[in-house]
Amino acid sequence: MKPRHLLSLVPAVFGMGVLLAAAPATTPRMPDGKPDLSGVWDNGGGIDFLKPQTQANGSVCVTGCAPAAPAAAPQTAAPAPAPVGTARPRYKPEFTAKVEDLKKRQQKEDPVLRCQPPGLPRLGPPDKIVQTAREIIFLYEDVSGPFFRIVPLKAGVKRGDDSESYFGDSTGHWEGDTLVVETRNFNDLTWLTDDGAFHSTDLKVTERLTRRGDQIEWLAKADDPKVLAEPWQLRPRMMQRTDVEMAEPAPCVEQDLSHMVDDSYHSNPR
Amino acid sequence: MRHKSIVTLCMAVLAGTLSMVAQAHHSLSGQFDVSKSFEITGVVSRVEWVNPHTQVFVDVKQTDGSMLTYKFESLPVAMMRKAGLSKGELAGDGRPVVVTAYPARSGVPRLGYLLHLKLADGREIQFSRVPGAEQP
Repeated sequence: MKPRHLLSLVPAVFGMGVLLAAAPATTPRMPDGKPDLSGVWDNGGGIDFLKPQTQANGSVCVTGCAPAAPAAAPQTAAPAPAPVGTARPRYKPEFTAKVEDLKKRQQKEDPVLRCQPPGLPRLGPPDKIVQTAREIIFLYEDVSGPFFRIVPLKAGVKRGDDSESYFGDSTGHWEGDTLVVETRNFNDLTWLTDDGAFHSTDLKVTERLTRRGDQIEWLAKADDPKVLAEPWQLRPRMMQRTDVEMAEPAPCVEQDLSHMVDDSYHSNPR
Repeated sequence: MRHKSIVTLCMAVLAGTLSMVAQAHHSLSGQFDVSKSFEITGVVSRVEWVNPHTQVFVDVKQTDGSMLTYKFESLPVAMMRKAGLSKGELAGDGRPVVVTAYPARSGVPRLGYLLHLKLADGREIQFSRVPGAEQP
């Protein structure tokens, strides 16, 4: 083969390498054929803006760093998908004043600022999933503390205490390759977001988890017909598989609020 | 036209970045004066590895030989972990560190919000941007 022909193979071989590198990882499956969601997942932790940088000498910048050099743009950019979901729920008119009032007094009223459980869907996607044929366990490392949820894959599982609770009672089922988790029986002690978005005990939360290779798309919808004008579809979150095992979640010990000198909003992203 | 679009995009990105920084600072402004910072040198004597804010205690030797302990609040544990930092890393090796922090608005002495640590081995850890400082 002449050198010119060899050269003509270079782009083809290079292109194949790029295709192989870009090919999504295979989705592992359980013996029953369902996608295996087990593993530790980096879900952004509500801190998507956090882009830590480590320099060659070991120095670390956690936030407020200079922007990193932008990655080279792909030659053929795919069209941006249509936006899905919204940042906040919409309330019935008779409840908007209550939401605004709670929002103004967020620092005094937001249960999470006092290390209380955030409830659903505010808790967000899990940090670790343990899946069996009968049930799925969600584990969380949250700013408010360590939490877990047990999701039976059949309805009617008897619980030791059926009182309404912060994370409610969940049941899961499969719709094709998507795990659908429906949760009810919530107390009304949590907020849907961090700005006064209260809910009633009629809240129902539906989560849909779809694994594609090393990623899980997490979709959530909150429905509370007593106070919301319409079901609230949250913006999608992506969970990326990681080999870093989940560490013991740190306890939540509030020691800031006594030093507040005004009612400034105090963020607590997840 | 293309040049104008790029300028518009850059301005949008800059505005978004500034908004993000402002929001991050705003969340602290009820407790700390985010318009200024102060600096002390001392030895880390204790780290509380807790949420929603880690706490770092630094012993500072006074001119008369006595010791005063400063308490600094910082980022949540999850953020520290995401940046590869551990409790041991913050606890240091017993050698002096230089701390830059926001002062507390409440007037409580020796209370601050940890922005930057300069370690004895020359490494630096920026937790949040120091007012008026250049970005690393």
